[in-house]
Amino acid sequence: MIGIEQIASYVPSQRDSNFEKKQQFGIDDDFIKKKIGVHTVSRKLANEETSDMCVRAFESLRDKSGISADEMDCIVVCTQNPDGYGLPHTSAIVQSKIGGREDCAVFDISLGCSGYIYSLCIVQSFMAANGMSKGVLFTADPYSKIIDPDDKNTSLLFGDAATITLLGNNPIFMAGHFAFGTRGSEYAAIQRVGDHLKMNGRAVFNFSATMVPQQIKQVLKMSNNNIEDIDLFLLHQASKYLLDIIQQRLLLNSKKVPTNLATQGNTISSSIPLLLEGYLTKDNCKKILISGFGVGLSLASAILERT
Amino acid sequence: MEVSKSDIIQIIKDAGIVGDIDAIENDTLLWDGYLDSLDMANMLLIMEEKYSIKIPDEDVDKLESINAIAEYLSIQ
Repeated sequence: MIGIEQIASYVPSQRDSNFEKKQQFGIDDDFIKKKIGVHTVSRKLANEETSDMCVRAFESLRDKSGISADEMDCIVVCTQNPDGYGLPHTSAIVQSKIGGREDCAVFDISLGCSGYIYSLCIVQSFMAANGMSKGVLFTADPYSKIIDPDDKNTSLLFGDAATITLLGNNPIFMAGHFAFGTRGSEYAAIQRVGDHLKMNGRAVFNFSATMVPQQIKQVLKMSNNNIEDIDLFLLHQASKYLLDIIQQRLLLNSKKVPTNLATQGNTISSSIPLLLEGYLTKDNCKKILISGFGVGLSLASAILERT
Repeated sequence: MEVSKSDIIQIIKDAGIVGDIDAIENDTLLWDGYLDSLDMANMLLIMEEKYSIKIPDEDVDKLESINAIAEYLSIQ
């Protein structure tokens, strides 16, 4: 059975502070700390491409696990901010940079904040269907490429990061009970218009505050679990306010809803694996519910069970 | 539909907005120190769910005080 064997990451060291933008956007410390929850956003280097971020994450995985690129049967990159214009696919560039085999399956998945969960299901199914032993799923979606620094809605929230999930037949966690959803009628709520990202905060809030709790309840029911049976809820790190609202609507114990927003921001499809990385070796976390939601508008949830 | 000041005060409280909510005057501008855009989004959602209505974006600016909200909801 194919599952998660290891996770590694790359978060750029450069930070832009939201406290330095108080005057620009007419906000105060309370808004930064208690509402959006993002103190600093991580920013890649100007000449750092999406594929370069993937390579850094791969190097971190190699240091952790000793794995080499030629062991990989598939290499997948989840991104909506690819290298260049997206042609060729960024995963092919990554394969070249890390030295993957020529018989390796390599492709991109175009999804945002729901992307890790969709991609996890796709890649593990793809690998199982094709008798593959080892594969890697990258998330790398540097929104800094398209953020308007004068846009309060987006420049205070989104940070850059990349992760790599090693999937194989000796897993620590198995993923299952997936649920998916899309409200394409509201695609315009988050979209790139010209060079910049535009976001209708209210539409995204409404979608997330209503659909995410609904889907989480659906996944719990599908898997015959109650809320109390879940050790951790790793929710996409959209903003502190949205996390608080979802938590309230589901009556979740806040100790079971960790966050890593403050120092890097919303890192799109990397937000969940960045959290998960820290819990792989915590044996008391046996059952984890993951839920990602955002651009599309799209959402996906699943349960991870420790083997 | 008839919506009282106490109904609206309760909605504001349910939205988790901090401050002395009970002391808000009917014509106090809510944007002046009581709520920000995130609070407003939550308050609007709670109103939509409670009264089974949809409040379009172009109407949001009208909902600037308790009086304004009550008047708006009364004609939905």
